[in-house]
Amino acid sequence: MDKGYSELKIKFEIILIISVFLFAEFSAQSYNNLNSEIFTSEDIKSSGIITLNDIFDLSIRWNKSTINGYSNRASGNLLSTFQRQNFLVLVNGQKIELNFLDEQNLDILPFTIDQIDTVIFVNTPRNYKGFFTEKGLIEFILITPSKGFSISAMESIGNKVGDPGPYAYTQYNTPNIDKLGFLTGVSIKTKGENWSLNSNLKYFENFVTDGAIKNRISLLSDKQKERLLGTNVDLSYNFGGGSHRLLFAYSEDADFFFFPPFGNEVPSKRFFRHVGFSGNIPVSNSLSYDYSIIKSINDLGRLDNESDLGFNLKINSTYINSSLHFSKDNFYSAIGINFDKYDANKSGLNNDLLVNQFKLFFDLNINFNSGISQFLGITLQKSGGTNTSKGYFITQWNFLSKHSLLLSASLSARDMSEDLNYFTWATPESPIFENTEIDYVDFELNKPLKTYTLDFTYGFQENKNTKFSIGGFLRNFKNFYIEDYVYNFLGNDNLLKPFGEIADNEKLTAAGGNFQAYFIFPAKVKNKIDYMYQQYLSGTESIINEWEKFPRHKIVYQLNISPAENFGLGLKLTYLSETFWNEYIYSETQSNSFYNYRLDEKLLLDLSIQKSFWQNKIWTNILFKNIFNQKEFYNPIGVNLGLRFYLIVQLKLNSLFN
Amino acid sequence: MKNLFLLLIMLLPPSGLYSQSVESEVFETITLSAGYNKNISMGELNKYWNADKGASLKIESPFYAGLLGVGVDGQLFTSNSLLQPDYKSFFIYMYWQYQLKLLFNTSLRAGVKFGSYVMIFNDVTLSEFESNESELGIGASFQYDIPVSKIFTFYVQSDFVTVFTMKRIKLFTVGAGVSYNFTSPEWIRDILN
Repeated sequence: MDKGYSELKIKFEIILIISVFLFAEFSAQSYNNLNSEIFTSEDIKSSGIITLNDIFDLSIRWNKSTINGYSNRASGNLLSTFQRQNFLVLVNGQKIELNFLDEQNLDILPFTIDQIDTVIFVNTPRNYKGFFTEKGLIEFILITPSKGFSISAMESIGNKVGDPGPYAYTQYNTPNIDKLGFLTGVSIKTKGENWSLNSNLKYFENFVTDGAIKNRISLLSDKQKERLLGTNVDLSYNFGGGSHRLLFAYSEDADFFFFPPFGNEVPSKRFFRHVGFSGNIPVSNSLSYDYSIIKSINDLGRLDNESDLGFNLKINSTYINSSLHFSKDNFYSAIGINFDKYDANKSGLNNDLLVNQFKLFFDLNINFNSGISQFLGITLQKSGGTNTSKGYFITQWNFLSKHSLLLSASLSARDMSEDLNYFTWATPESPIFENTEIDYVDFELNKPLKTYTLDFTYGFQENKNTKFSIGGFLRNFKNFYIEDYVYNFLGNDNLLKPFGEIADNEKLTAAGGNFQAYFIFPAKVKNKIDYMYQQYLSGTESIINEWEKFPRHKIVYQLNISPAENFGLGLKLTYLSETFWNEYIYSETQSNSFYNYRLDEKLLLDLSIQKSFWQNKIWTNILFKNIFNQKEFYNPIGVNLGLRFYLIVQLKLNSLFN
Repeated sequence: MKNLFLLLIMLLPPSGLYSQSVESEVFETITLSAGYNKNISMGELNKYWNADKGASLKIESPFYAGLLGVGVDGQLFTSNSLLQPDYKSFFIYMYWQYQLKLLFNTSLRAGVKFGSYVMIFNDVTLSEFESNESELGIGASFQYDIPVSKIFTFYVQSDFVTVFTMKRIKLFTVGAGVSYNFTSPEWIRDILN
């Protein structure tokens, strides 16, 4: 163990011991919301969110990168680089297996944003509903149906500026720019005495018209748009004092899947299926039993059947969770076991590849009368034949009625097989994709990946309309592996060609701070200011290169004015400092700066005008994004989003025929 | 800008100007308007196209301090040469105007309008998908109202609109028309609120 890591571990243990012995009285605490950011449907409406992938814009602690402008790679509270997409996604408590080959396209979830009651971002590693949130977690809580029969719908259309218009027929002709697609969602709900049924249908279409991606994609496919169709049925039933839920979901997405070892988009068609049964049964007043059984199928095939280019990989996953929860007065504890089985089926293999994961978790929460709450948890895991453990410790102290202090620390070890990406499923006999010169197949790590985190926040809340917080964090990663590619743009065919290797034994220490203030001033004007700063302190070259893709400074100022109950104006000003994408350093000169490895700082202003009609049954939002029409790239080889405007209409007819 | 001031001065009553803002209850009345439009200038594009017939339709209602409305302006453009196809444009927009009451019950309004500027090119070499293009349009609008009866008003208007194509299109349009004003039925007010 190297010296820096040992020192950090010792500091962590000292903090843990001091915290345990300092305090010893009881008070109440909300366990699930601890160290989380919670956004309501009203927050979503006022934030200019259109698709599920825009959800990352709600939290300054989450960074995003996008090539095509609609699907993202994300990093939750700097717990991972953009290369790994292992943050967890839950819908109404059920784990959704969205991550597929390190892409986690939230829009595959078959509902639209108007169906969300609450979004919860868990930003530090901890046990949350039986899952260890090592890389962060997002949970969607969907709207509970009203009594009777309800129908709701959402439609969004958008346009981006900069087309040639009539100038196309003159000497001033310019290329077409990205055309924004449309999104449609319909939901039907009904609720009886002890049950409710919620079903959704979603259709999403987007066009590949921006030169940055069109030049590549048009060579690889004759298709020019993404089409996504999804549907789900969610049945909940209250029985024996507990609640039980059966969730079916199906989505198919014809899209262009960016595959890093290939360096370009692979025309692909993805199918996603989910069947989950979960619930809780009260055993006594203080003891309850939670369970869930989930079966998912993810299938990535070819978009063009005649094409040689494409994936052929199907992963069946099974997840079983069983846990006991004890809660009395100021004490809460939980113990549970999880079993995950991933079964990959692909062409060229006689037998399926299997990854089994067993987890045993334990949680303890004691609330002391002095306003101090302490949380401690551990997860012991066996994955791919390797034993690992993950633990966390959190102390929350509410003092002098308006002040709070939160200290969170975690230490986790992770086996590479937990990442479930192309390194897991590719074998030399049967790679999942053949058209690449990068050797991503013959790669193994012997040591577990270790992550140490420390977060602290001081908060002050005068009342619910005036509050601020300030905090800091430290991240330490050890034994990480990084895809260390460099992309060449040779210009003959507009495609990017990678060369490089997988760098292992990578380590990094990073730290930063954040500040948040919320106040109403003057009357009816809500102000929210968020600032986040981060910087790596030390590390190895490949992982530092990945870290430089995160902006060092992020500032978001949001202002919402509500002159009347059914009319509102929103302004959002976002500043992101420059980022560096060193894998494209040669592509910049090779492409005559068509692709730039440095993304300039951005100052983006969004304006939204919202009006409700028909006693709030219809809600409309006219949204202008990036009014200054700044260059808005989130990846050097991606689209420039620029100034665009949207019309969003939501309809809600609740409790019909009741 | 000079043209704009000249236009405003011409519209003002010659003597004893007085003004007051017009404030009505939200969505208390509805005004339907129809008029004739003529594009006077479209900047660089004047070299290639001439503006032909145009028409506008609007519907508006009082909305807090001003008037809120939606409308559509249609305009035909005829090409000067065979190199450019004729095209028609439809500007589908929303607007808000502040209204000042002047002498003799007349009023002057100024405000902003924005929406989607749709262009349909008469180009047989393109597919239907490719021959339609829409772009963001934002501009300022001015209107002078002269009531001719309790329910009918004659108006003249002028708009300056920028269409956000890669090379911007600057449109200056004038028009005149008639408005019909009536008290909003209860059911419409219910929907709008």
